[in-house]
Amino acid sequence: MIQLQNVNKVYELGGEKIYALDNVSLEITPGEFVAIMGPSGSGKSTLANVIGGLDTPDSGRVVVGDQEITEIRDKALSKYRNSKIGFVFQTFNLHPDYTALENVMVPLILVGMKARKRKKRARKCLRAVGLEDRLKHKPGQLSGGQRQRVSIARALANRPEIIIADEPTGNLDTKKGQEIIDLLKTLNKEEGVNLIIITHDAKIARQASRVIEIKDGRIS
Amino acid sequence: MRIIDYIKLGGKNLWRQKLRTSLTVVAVVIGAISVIVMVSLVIGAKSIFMQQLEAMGALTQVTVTGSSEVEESGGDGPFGFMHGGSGNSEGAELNDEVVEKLKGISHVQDVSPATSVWGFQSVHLDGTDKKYSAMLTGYRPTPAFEQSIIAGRNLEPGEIAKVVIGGGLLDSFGYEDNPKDILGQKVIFKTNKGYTGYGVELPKPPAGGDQEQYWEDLNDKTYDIEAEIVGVMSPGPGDQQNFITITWAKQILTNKYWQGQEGGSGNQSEPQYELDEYNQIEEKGYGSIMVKVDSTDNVEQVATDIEAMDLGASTAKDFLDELNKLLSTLGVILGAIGAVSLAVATIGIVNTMVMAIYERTREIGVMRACGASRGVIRKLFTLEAALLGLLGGLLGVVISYVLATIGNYYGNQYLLDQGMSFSNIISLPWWLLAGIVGFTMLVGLLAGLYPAWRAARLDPVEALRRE
Repeated sequence: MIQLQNVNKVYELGGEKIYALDNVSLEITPGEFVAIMGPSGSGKSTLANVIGGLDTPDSGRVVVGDQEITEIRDKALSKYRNSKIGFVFQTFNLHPDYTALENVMVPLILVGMKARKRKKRARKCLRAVGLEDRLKHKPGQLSGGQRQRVSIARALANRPEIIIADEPTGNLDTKKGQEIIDLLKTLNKEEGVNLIIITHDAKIARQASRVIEIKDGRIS
Repeated sequence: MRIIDYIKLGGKNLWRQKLRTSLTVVAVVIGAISVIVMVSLVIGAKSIFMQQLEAMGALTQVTVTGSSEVEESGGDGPFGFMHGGSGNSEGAELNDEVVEKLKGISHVQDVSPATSVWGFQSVHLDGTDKKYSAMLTGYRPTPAFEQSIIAGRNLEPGEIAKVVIGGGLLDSFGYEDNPKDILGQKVIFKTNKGYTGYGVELPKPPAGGDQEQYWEDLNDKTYDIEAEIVGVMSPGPGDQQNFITITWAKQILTNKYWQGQEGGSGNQSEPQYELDEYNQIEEKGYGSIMVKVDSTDNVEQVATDIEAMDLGASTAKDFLDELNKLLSTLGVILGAIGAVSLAVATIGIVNTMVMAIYERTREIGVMRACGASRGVIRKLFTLEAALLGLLGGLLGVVISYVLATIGNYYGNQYLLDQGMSFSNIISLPWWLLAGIVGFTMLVGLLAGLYPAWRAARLDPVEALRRE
């Protein structure tokens, strides 16, 4: 269960206060596929970052499972991200000089897994996204869709409870984009991970079991 | 994250930017070589001194003087001839009785009295005209006090009119390239005016007549003393020394004179004269006494025992202590000069790492999203900087070793041509090389602290937005 209680995130820009999140409260049940939708600047990415532990709210509580992540220190928050969250980004954010296998291994290196074990795990994740024959390819040798699959494989590496995909199809054509969404939906069903997709695309949002609409930092 | 993964990741990141890494490492290499060369020269100089002292036997030798407060001083003989003697009445006189007492000290192998004989006007090689100045040292040539010889032989005890010359006279006479050819030739020492020692048949003062003329002639006369060259010493710090036996030195330092007698037989208007002698060594003692000890371990104890006899005792250790202080200071100064280039290299490392962080901001953001804490980011960048220092240090050591090998090869050739026995001026002890590697790694690590702190402070959300 993901719970947000009266969460606020405020930025100061040129003396003006901007409420990225304004008294947000919501709950997401385990295994749920949720789409967070809203126009540009509505606070959807901020909401995703707060849930993912990449950003901390200025007030309120965020509880994931039995762990409150609002007041914890950086080391504990990093461990939370590493073990419970898998991020998928619009721009893929793969290391250009690493192979697909090496990119997927990054979260496993951070957790201190031994080399042989993490290679095995990384291969399995790449197999799960259909890229078992692209292990030694670098991002520059892969198509956009393939790169996003590598990104998803990386997100799966540490068996997360939650996958947060921020505009995962933003840099892909419609067909490839849908393939990615289908892949994520499959993982959501088969692995039972919470899937949170940030999108401005209504077509994608409609495929989720629930849509959370956000505007000017408020849930509508 | 495992330490091996930090190292692999850090190494991989440095390898990605080969040119920048190479340039940064080159600066560290230059700094490391500078420090190694400066310090190794000082170490080498010390080693050469030790080798020379060892070759001279100085490390197992104690030099005895009149007292600990009286240095070897010159005393004027009655005829203006000087020798090194303990002329100070407050110090103990170094005579044969003292020599025997010193022989009785535990761990003493042999004892040789020594005295300097100078006051010759000049010396020249027989058959040549060019004159030089020279100093002689008289000593007892026993096996324990053998000189290091490159041609001929050492003196035999009691030899008269034989000399072993040093490199100074050898060069002056022009035989530096062929020292063996000078053996058997004669050197001629010209005495000061009024000399009445060895080899002089002193005329008796006239019974009547011009006494004034007699003394004028006597005080105006110089003599030539011949000596055969039987040996040539190895080059070294004793180049200006030339050796004769103490027996002959005593004869040279014995001044004859006619002593007028009171009374007499027969005609009281004719003065009676008797030939008498003034031996400067017997009157004033030896200049110093050399004591040979059986082992370097016992030198200090023997010196202490000698001082307990109210005598002065100096060892090579005193000289070495002073030398060590001087060389240590020199080493620190030269090392600091070399370290300046290392300091510049450190700035290069800081610059490289700051640039790396700027270029890898998004990468840092991704790592943070994947679960890297600030501590992990800080360690990673600090380690990369330390690796730069380590790499520079290792390469610096390897290059220094190659340069030292080449330098010593040519240096040894040169020294051999000069007839010098010691070798390897550039000394690279293992602790210096290990120390440099450790030091450059530490320097790199310290240089990386600030950039690593900056990298760790990056906001991951902002970092992910960076192009």
